[in-house]
Amino acid sequence: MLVKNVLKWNHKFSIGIILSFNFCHSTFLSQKKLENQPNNYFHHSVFFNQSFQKFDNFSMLSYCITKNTLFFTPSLGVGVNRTFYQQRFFPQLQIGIGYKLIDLNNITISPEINTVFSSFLTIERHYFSSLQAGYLFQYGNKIFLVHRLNAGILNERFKNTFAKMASANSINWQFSLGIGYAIN
Amino acid sequence: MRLINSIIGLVILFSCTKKDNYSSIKLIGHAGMGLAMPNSMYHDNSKEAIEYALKMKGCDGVEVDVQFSKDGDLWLYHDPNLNSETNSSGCISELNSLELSSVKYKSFHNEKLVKLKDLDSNLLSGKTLYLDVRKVDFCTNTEISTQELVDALNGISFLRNSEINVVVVSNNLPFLNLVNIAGYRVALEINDGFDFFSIQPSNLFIKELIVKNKNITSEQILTYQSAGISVTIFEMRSASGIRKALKKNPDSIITDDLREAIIEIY
Repeated sequence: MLVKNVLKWNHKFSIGIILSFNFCHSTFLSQKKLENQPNNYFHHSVFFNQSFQKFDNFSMLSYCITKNTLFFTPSLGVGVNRTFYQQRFFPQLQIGIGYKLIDLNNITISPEINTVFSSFLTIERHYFSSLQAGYLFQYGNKIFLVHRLNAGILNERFKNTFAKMASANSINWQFSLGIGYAIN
Repeated sequence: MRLINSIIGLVILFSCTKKDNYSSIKLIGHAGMGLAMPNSMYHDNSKEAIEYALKMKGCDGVEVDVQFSKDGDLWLYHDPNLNSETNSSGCISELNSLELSSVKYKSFHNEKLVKLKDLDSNLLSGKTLYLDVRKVDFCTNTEISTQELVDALNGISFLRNSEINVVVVSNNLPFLNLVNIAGYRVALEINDGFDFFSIQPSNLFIKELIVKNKNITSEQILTYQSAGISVTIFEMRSASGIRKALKKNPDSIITDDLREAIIEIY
């Protein structure tokens, strides 16, 4: 009974991850054009950040596409301890969407939602997926400092000794600091 | 594009260094997935944590902390007091099993406390179960009767299952002697690598030692192993700590990060 309930919850959680992933894309792309917006085009920036998370410290490269007040941030990174010290490649993909709540001259504070996917190999491959919410803080214009703080639910899955997928949920978090460059 | 390819190439290059082979060293999960570890999915010493660890390929067993309840049952719990980790207060020894069955950890999953006899013996088949038995009642500061503890162990049928390696751990020699006479494998917890040499002649029944990673050297481990005594080391929470422990070539390690230890070994 407990196993069935857990699997049911994990199944719903997986669907939630996929739906939020689609939400990030569709919400960003379906923005209504603002009437008196003189510069209604996509702004691009890239930033590198060090992200301290539950399972490792990740070096992440993010690409930020901003239109009006919404931004879309796909990020790619690797877990430093696992990949370089333990020689076990630990990649991570993050897809985020945020809203520029406070957008002053130099300072931007934006609530955001992130979906995070990562995986590493022990004997079996462990898959981690996470749905997080938090904020992104930027200071600067052309060259800017970036800070991100997110927390949410994490799911781990791996093939167990009975050749069935074991799964568990927990809390995940990330604290990151970085530096970025606004391309346009 | 060339820059990206170079970065990817460097990452893969650093990921593919050959490692030493430690596959003969047994890997034991400390209190399940690790004691007070942030990256553990469940609370230590909970049924969920123990089963999650045992289902992971590469895990050769678990170590659990065992305390005596008021009515003589053996419950898994680490701390002296319940209020540090659960929604209850006092000591395990002050509550009976009915009261303890409703106690939950203050954690994400609110796991319940579990009795030793409620562990899944199928998952333990072919594995090693270390029982770190608390012989002292933390609340009254009195020693629990050895015979009562042995009777409680005898009351759990799967502990006599020949497919499960059960090892009772303590730093109390007379207690271990009686438990050994009752037919259980025992392991003596020592403070450092020199300890056992001073008491060894009169304690020939001890065939396994447990010691902290930082308190023993590889030479001491080799000396014990040459004398037919196996050595298990514990207290390693990081990848570097696990690697240092494995380099000493013990017989087993009790690790707080099962995933990292599996990566280091395999």
